[in-house]
Amino acid sequence: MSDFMENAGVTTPSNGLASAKAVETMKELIPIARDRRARAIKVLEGPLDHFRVAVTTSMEIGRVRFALEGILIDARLREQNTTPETLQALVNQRTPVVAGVFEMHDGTHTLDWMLPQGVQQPIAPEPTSVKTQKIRQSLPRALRLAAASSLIGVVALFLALRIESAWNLPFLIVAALAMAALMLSLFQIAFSISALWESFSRRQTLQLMASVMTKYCGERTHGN
Amino acid sequence: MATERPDIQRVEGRLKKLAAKSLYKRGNAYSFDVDGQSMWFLTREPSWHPSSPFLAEGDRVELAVLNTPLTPTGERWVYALRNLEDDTVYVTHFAWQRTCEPYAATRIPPASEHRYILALSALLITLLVMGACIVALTGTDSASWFFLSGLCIGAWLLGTVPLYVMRWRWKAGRPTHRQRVTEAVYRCLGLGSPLAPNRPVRSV
Repeated sequence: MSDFMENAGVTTPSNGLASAKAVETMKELIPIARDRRARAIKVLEGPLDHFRVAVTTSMEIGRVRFALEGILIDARLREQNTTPETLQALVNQRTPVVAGVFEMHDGTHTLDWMLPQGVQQPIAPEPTSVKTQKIRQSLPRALRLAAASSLIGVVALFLALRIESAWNLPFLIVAALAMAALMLSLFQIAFSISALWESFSRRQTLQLMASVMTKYCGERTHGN
Repeated sequence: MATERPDIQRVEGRLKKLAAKSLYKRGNAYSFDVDGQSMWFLTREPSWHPSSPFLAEGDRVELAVLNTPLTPTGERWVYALRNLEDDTVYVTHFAWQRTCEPYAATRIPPASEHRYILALSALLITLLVMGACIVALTGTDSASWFFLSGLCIGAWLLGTVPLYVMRWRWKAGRPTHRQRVTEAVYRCLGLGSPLAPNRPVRSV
């Protein structure tokens, strides 16, 4: 790896915990041929060790790190609709779990789903199809808001410039509010398109992970 | 006259009273106490971002800190942090972008110049393409586009040449003051040379 990569934050993990032993005991290792983020899917089993919760500006994100079979795994628990307290309870009780993780190109590992022993429902993110459906439902609303606010903004600005008395002030305020609404809706549209592209461009990897989850957790646990 | 090198101290201990703060345009900061001393650790990325440092309350750390309090309340500025819990090393560069004080380390990570040059090149090319489109659509004199091209080439050279000259100087063993400060930070935590560190280093 180039020194640039190492110095630019795109580094191989330096935890030293991932070992040959971990590979031997791993339940499954599926290499991914073409994905811009992940290079493999791993299924690991065992109790969670060395559980830590990162301090962030918004603690709701639930940025956590733990070791499983000697491999350090990162997770943002809000995506899995769970909390650090839930995982802390698993750590305290030494409950064995089966977990599906992505091995990223930079060598780090990211949690996708986890099934604690004796639990029917896995800790998993929303199925891609549900996420996509939600975005598709919200996108027309954002587009309508963008169109309406831009129209109102342009008309209000036009009137404000045409009227030469103090009455142009209310129109200027309306134009400013419309522009603010336009900016917000444009941000929403950009995020929606980005999320849709993410789902589309990584669909094979996400489907593969969903099938792996089905294999370990059962048919009814996801909807991909 | 050679500028005096800052006093960089190595501190070991556990993170206590750890808090993450957003400083908006000035990046993000972690504040914590280690070994009874209050510290500030500035980063570019927000604390919830996957590439930002992973710091938890009670983590064992080794720090390279400026041994001079910079704030009225006595907080010390962190140059680099090694988290012994997962053996990751973070070195700050973003924190020094807006300061010219003698204690400042390099503004950009070592050997990352081409990243900035690529960004500058993309920006200038976009500007030139936009200029060409405007000239073609309005039918104005192409001399203005050539003037714009000249300006862009000048800006590119102004951005690129100093970066590569400084890199060449560093590699040739004639580092600038900031580069010497960065070397001292790496030496303090036993990371080897900034141009060839002996372990993965994350620049923040």
